[in-house]
Amino acid sequence: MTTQFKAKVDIPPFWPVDEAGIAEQLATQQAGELVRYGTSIGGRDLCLLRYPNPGAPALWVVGCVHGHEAGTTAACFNLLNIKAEGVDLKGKPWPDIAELAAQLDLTVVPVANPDARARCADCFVGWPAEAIVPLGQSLDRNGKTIPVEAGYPPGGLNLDDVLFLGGLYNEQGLNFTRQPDMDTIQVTEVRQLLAAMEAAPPQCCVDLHACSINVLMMVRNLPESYREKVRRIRDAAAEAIKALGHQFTDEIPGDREPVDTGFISYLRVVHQRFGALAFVYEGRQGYINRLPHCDAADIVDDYLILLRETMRLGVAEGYLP
Amino acid sequence: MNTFHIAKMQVPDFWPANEEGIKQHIAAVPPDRLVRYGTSAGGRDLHLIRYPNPGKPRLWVIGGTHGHEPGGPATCFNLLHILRHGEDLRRKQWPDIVGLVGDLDITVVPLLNPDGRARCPDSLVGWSTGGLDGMAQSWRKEDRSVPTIEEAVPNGLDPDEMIFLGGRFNDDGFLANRPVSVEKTLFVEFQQLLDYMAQNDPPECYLDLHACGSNFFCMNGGFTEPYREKLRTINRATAEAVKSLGHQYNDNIYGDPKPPGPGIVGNVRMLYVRWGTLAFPYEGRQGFLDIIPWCDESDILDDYLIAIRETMRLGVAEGYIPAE
Repeated sequence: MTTQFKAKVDIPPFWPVDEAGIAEQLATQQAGELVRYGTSIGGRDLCLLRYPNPGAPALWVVGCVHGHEAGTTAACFNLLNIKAEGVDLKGKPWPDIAELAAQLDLTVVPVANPDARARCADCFVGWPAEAIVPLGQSLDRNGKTIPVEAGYPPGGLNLDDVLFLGGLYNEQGLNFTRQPDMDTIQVTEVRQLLAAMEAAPPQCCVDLHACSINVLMMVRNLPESYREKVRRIRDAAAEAIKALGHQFTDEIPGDREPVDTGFISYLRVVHQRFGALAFVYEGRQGYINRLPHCDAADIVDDYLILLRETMRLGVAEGYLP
Repeated sequence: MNTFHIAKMQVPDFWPANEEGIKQHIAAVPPDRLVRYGTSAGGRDLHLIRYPNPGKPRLWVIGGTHGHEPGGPATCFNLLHILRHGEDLRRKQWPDIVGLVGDLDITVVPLLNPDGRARCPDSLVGWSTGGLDGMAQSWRKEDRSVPTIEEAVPNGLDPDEMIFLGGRFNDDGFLANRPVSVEKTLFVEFQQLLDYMAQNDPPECYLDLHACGSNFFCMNGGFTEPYREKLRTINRATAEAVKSLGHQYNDNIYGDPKPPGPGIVGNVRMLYVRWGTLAFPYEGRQGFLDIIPWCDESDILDDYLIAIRETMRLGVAEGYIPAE
């Protein structure tokens, strides 16, 4: 198990994304069923929280596939707190989420890639966007940023050449969201996640990420009837997030692309295996050089709104076309 | 006064670099040593701390000319703690510094640009260098571009046109270290310091603590050869001591052996021209992730204190002003 030289950030209590905070949150979840579904390459537990509701639409929320996107873990634990107590970790009530969650079969994976989470700083609010690139992509021994393409499968990064292993990777240097093909899942943590899904197959899988803007991303192998559902979630989330004066990008990258293009992410596999409505939501990081500025509370609110609207669609019409 | 969502960094107790920590340490300075010499553009107090010793070589140590270089102020408060208690804020002993104090007239300006400091994070340890140009130089709202230094001289930047006003600027948008000429600066904080110097004994040595990715001294472009030789002596001694810790150090002094010429007019050039001061910058480290060897705040502090110690040692051994 490794940790790396990393920036020490002062994080608010509602943003429990460091190892101690994650452990405490997992230990205190009373309402859900804590399932240890595997072990990371670095030896950390892979955990999920189940709230079974047989016959209800099955929603999976996955956080922290990328270690440098800590807000996704924070959002998951805030969601779990709403499920348990009706309020998020800031104490803000979310009655709609509490009501909708009770009508779903909910599974939450707060930290899909715990080794990468442990390697990366806990919050990037106030950082320049450019400072984060190497934290995701890794640095070579000369301190140069390694291009994403260098970590494409098969094989991943050569760890002997790596000074800092970025948040995109598991501890073997394999890119979490790049599979060689639909049948070869080389990332151990993804294999175990997919195996856990076999036990409670998702009808919808929201994969939370974080870049500099709020935006949904289309998984390319979704057929049109699925895509229309993603667009409706987008419409509702956009209206609510913009109403707060927050940034939101209406266009869904990948939506205009045909089904056989793009890289093979694990979400593509999730759709293929389970027929699930699988999509990516990118939240914000709070970069200093991106307007409007936002703080950790704004970021959590945006994620929770997206999750609320995803839940609302599932309850209203189900996730499968 | 602009407000931003500043990155909140966890910093060790021995690294007082934010407004609250600095106020606490200023409040702890004995009143007879503390001088409030002015007010920043943003309305913040400007302080210096005096350890007078008439007739001895006059050394001034300056921190925080640039707000995004927090190691300077942190080092100044550690130096002050050594001067008062014989040990730094980590309780590390610096007997050589203590032994040299009695033979110098010392003034410490912990934070020349408090407006810039207030806008910037308390530590950049673990950050990458990406985007650092904007942290220093600002980003424009219009197109997120980073203004060049040339665009900010002499009339400064309009803070209202910036997404973020960089650490090199005061709250009125003027650069801390780019006087209009060797005679005139529009950076009111340095002008007030010059006024104080003029009314008192001006410095014979002015050690301006900065920070980038590596440890090195910068040559004052106006220096004549005898002055240059003194800085080279300080550089050799600092290099030996810093390297003995296994820390990074650039042997070459930036700007040496270039001959005296126009070069950049910085605060140190003004002081040299005005009073013949042995005035020069020392660049410490920031702890960047993409610059090896990695270092933390404690390593950074050690390097600064060594540079100060060797500057003190030269002053005691031979004085700061060459016999020209």
